Amino acid sequence: MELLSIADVVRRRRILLAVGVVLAVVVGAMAAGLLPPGSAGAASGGGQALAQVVVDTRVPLLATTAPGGDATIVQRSVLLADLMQTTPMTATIAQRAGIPAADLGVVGPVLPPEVQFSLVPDGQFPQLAAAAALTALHTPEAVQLVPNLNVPVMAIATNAPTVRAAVALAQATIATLKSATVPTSTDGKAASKPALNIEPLGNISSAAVPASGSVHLTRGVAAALALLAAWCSGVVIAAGLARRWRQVGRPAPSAAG
Amino acid sequence: MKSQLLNSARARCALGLALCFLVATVAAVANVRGNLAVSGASALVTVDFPRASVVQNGANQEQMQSLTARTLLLGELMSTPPVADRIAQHDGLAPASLSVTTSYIQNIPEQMFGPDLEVRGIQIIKLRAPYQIDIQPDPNVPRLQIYTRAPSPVAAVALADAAVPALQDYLGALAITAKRDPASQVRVSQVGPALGAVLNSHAKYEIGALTFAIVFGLCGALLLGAARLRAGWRMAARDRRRAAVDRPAPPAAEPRRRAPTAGRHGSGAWRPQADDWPHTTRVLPWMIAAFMVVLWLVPFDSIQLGGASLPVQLKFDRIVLPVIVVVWILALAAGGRAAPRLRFTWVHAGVVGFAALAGLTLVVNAHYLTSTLQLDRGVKQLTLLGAYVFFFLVVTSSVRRSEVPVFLRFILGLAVIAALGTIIEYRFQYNIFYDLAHRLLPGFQVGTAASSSVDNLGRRLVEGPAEHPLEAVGMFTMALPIALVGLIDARRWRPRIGYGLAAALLLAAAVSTERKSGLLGPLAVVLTLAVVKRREMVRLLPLAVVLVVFVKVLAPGALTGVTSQLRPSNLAVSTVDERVVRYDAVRPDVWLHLAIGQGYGIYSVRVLDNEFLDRLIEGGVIGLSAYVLIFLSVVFVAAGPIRGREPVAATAGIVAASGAVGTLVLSATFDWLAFPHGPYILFSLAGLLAVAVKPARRDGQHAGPPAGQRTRLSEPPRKRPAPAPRTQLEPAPEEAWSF
Repeated sequence: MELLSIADVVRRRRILLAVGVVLAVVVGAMAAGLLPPGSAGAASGGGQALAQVVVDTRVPLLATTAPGGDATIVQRSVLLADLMQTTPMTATIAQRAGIPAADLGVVGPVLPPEVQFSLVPDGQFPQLAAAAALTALHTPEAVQLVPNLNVPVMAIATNAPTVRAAVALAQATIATLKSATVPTSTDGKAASKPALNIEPLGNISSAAVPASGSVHLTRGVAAALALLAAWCSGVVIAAGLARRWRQVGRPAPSAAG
Repeated sequence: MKSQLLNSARARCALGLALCFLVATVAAVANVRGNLAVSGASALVTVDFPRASVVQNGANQEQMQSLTARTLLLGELMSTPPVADRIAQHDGLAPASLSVTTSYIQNIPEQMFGPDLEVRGIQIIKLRAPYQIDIQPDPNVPRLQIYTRAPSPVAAVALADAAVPALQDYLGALAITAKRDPASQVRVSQVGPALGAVLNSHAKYEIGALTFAIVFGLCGALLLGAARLRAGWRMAARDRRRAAVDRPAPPAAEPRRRAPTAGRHGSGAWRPQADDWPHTTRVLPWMIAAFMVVLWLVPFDSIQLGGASLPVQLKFDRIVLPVIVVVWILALAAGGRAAPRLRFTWVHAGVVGFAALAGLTLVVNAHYLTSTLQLDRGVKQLTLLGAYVFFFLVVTSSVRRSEVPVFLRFILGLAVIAALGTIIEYRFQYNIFYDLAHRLLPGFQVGTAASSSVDNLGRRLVEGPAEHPLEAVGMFTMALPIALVGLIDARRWRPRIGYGLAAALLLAAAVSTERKSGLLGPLAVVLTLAVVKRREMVRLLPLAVVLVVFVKVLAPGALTGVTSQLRPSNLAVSTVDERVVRYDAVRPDVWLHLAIGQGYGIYSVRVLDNEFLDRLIEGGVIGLSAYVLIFLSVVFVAAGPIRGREPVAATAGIVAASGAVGTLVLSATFDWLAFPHGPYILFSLAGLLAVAVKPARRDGQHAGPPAGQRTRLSEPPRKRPAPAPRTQLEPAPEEAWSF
């Protein structure tokens, strides 16, 4: 019954309803990327690549039951990922990928704040600071290294303006990881054999990121419906307020009436 | 001219609105003054051997553990005054403006990581520093994360970048003092530059909007209250004048400002109408009923849409309730015969007053909460409280007085189903509510019931449709009085048996949670009933034995288990000890803002398991008083109809008052407001009470039951009511309206 009253209020204001419909169509078209004309596909989304590597001991972990260094291999893989964030390593990756070092940002695994710390006065501070650190990175190309904390496997995710550049960046990162595991001798010269083996797990997968200006019909329809609903609600509320305002000051109807 | 302006109702209304707007704007502008921005930065530091690298040259387990332990030590060292002072010096800060904390926790019990009195006192002092560092060493890998907080991103980054050089300085100086080669020390190096940004970029707008809304609302309430007071005085003066002129005046000639057919507690306004729920096309009562089904049978707080991919947690109630509230607002605006009718009672004052005060605590503490990054949490909790209040308002304005008995019976029916499910969970370790939610709500993330798990005291986690056993106890406690009052008032055997069975099921479900509160809550309800219905309860004493037998049969072992927990020899358990420890540990937080508290919903230092302490810390003495006043307002409003013995209003009063007292008792045993089932249900009962005691004008147009109409809770429905003529004003016989 209330719904009929509400519908009746809207029905009696057809002009406002028509304005709402027009507005909803326009906003829906904009949200869908159809307006202004030619905006769809105007911006390119860029490319992403994902690779996984296993950080192995000099004698492969699966080749023998007692390879040297297996007890600390996970910690070393985590530290290796950290090492990639240093300025010299970032520069090396950029050089290998053929891009200026200033255009590249490497983020490692931000140490996840202890869950229990939500109970201490710092509250959300560590989590927020960690998130802020990630958003503070504004470079056209980025590498994120995510080591698995249980097994010596590391994921490498890259972002670049093109898919090809993203793949090249992933390859450059893997190459830099390999070179970073070569131990340095006391005289500063690199030894011949690496301390750790970096083995890619499968091929590098890549994908194009959808451009922000591409057509999203569902989004457009949802935006149009939401706006129309909000508009009609506004009309009903405004009509109600206007009615109340007119009633203010009128003598109250008698009890009999 | 002035008096003419003030005599115009529209002018007064416009003036009031303008005044509220002005005051709220001034308050909002004043509250966002100053630098509210808090920035944060993060930097990673690794610890390595002096010459060789762990990554490149390898390390055995022992060496790695040693290096990790040394990292923990360095992390602790960084928060000591010598290193902290050096960090301040490196960053060009006054040492007093910087606080450094090292925090890492491993598997230790809650009593140990929850800060005690002294630690918490120091934490509070440290929280006031404008520059802060939080150091978190990794317990497994030789590295530590540095988080900094400062007024600007540049300052936060600079502070993070200053930490490692300061530590290196200190270690170098230490080596020289100990006559050791600094090159033989562990290498501490920062991995890449620190990165930082503003952490609360929207704080200014949030505080401004919150302040405006709260102050505008309070101002409006004050003006409305003043206007009503003034109107009351004027009316009283007019009556006195009239009485003086017309003496002797006919008694009770003018029932002022009240529906003409309603008595003090609405006697004579109980005539059921043709379109009463459930025989109605009005959508709002149906929506309320549907939401009540959700409240009683759906574990909605464990059901979420979209998982973690959405920026806000879309719990099930947050999807359903907004639809009801939007329809309610639109129906209110559209007007018409079926439109909701607003009422105002002292229960409204208690509920809305508490919510307004909760908002005010956030407004008053906005700067402190922004600097500690707790404002968002408070606003989220305030939104949840707003949801409870809106549901209360929807109930009080959309339900008719004549619908109150039907809704009470409906609630009892839902409670009995919930109780049956809980008993089944106790006996068969199968939670039907969670299972059905899994099956019926595809696309939602539904939590899992831990029906077969036990807590550290060996008690089963029987939750029913709730998220915690104590929450379930609260639900059954609030429904119990409906069954008991029905049992008392039943005149015939069939309803008497039905209500008795319902009471037994509710009791059995409460104790099957295996919590001590499962006995305390119902006991509080029974004692309240014993106070208001002494003779009737005495008559029921023999039935208590039957009830106990039923409970023992329905939930074997539960009653014995709970009673054995209450023996003095069994009270020295961790759940009791932890609570006792907390009473001492929260003192610094209580004293921090004793009058108005730290802000509603922000306390997260410890789980207190005591709503009174939560209210005291978050709302101060005023907040605690406002919380208790919610319950007292329910009891106060219920007292009238209970004394008046007007049957339906009396029943609504007894049910709401008993539920309120039971909840008040349970508030001492768990954080009641943190679990949404309880507040929603209590506010719905309080809403029904408000409807029962205060008629909307339209409700008051009807009186007296038509022939053959169902008039008691305990009587089965006979016939759909026929519409009554509006002019029929004969009051119903008392006996015919009793439950």
